[in-house]
Amino acid sequence: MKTLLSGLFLGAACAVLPLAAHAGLKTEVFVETSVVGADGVARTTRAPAARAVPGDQILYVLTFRNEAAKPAEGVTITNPVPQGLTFAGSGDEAAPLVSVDGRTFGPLDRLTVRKADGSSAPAAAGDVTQIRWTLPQAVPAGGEASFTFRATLK
Amino acid sequence: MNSKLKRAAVGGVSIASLMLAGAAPAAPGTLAGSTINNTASVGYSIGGVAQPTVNSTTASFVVDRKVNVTVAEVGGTATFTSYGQKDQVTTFTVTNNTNSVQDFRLFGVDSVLGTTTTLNHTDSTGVTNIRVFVDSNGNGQYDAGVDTATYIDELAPDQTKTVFIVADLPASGPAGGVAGVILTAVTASGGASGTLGADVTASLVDDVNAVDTVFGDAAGWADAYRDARHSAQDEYDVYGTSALAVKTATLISDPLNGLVAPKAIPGAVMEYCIAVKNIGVQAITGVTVTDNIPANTTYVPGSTHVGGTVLLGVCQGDGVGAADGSVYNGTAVTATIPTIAPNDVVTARFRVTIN
Repeated sequence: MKTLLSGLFLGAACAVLPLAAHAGLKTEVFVETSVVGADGVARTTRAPAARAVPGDQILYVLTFRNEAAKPAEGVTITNPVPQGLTFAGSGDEAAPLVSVDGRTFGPLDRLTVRKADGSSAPAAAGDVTQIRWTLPQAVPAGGEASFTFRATLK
Repeated sequence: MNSKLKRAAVGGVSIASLMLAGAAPAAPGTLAGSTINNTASVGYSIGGVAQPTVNSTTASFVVDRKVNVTVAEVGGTATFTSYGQKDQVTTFTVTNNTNSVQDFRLFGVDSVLGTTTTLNHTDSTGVTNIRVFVDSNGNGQYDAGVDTATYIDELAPDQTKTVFIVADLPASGPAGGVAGVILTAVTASGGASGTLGADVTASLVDDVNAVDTVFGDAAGWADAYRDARHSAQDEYDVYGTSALAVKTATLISDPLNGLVAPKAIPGAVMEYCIAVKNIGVQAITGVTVTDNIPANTTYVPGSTHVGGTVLLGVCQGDGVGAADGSVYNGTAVTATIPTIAPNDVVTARFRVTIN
């Protein structure tokens, strides 16, 4: 009886409270190398980040997976730029918004930074501290969505 | 160069400015061995109900060592010295552009005879007893007995040490001798203070969780691209007798034949040309040429010209006329050439009449 009540209570809770971890977010890191082939065309190759030295271009791939039985809406992914890296853009068609202060998000060319002397200047890629993607469409049950950004190792 | 012996060389100015035009190397960057972690978070809703934020897995890698070293000559001028001098000093800097602390093994060699030096001179002599010392107190001057370290110990990223090549000049050699010397710095493992580590080697296999070693240095004066070493050249210039004067006499005319095939007969006009060549490596200034008027000749008034040129060994009829009052004293002509650049020839000429 007691067990049944607990079960009922749990079921009721599920109906109104958020479900725990019905989604997964995976990050992967690669090093990109541009090699000019014999035909003179530069090709970018992607390798696991086993060899990474200052100046290298690092590629991050984030994969969101909806493990719930219903579509996930309003998927918003926030990625702080890791220490030691300078943001170098996103490879995504829908470019993410960025922030230089962790509060205001917008396109990079619309953001400003305050300099030491109090004046403000247009923000540069090196000023970006956070990256944020917001999916306009829902991710169906069992579906995945991928996001990428590049950064340069300082 | 050795600043104690630095002289104001007219010819050195343009070389110095060329040497300073190089771009500064990029900062070494994130320290080797640093772990770079990336995590993201996602917020979403299901059925209109906001779900708890989900944190991502962490993607990590370890920053590898990018070996990069720069050796540079200091000053853009030679060390001026003379034959027989001992313990003559040339000065370099060694900069660690590696993203980790490194030792540097150092060695100096004499440049090959006949090769062109970094200061665009031809190596014509050598030095012996070549030693290399690190500037221990950072004063940029070689202090014998004080600067005794022969390798650079535990140099932090982006830090520079001054290094001296100390060598002896031979007892004698060609006039205006040039002896190039090359300093090479080889990147060695740091970590143990007070001992020179082994030369670094490039990792053959890349490990995502370990510090691999990658060579990223440029080619130097006497080393290759990406060989964990770098080198630069400096030189010793022998400063001494550096001008060579050649006197020629040319008949200009005689009273019978005029200008055509003149003969040395009474009344003929003879031109004496003293061509002074600077065979040194520095400009020479205030060169005084004195020549007695030969017996049985008479100085032609107003005939002295200074600053002329020589073409194919023949004195040209150019130069600036000098007032007799300043150059002719009744028995001799004394002309002053203001300056002669290295390898240049400048003339002083005057005419006499055969009595």
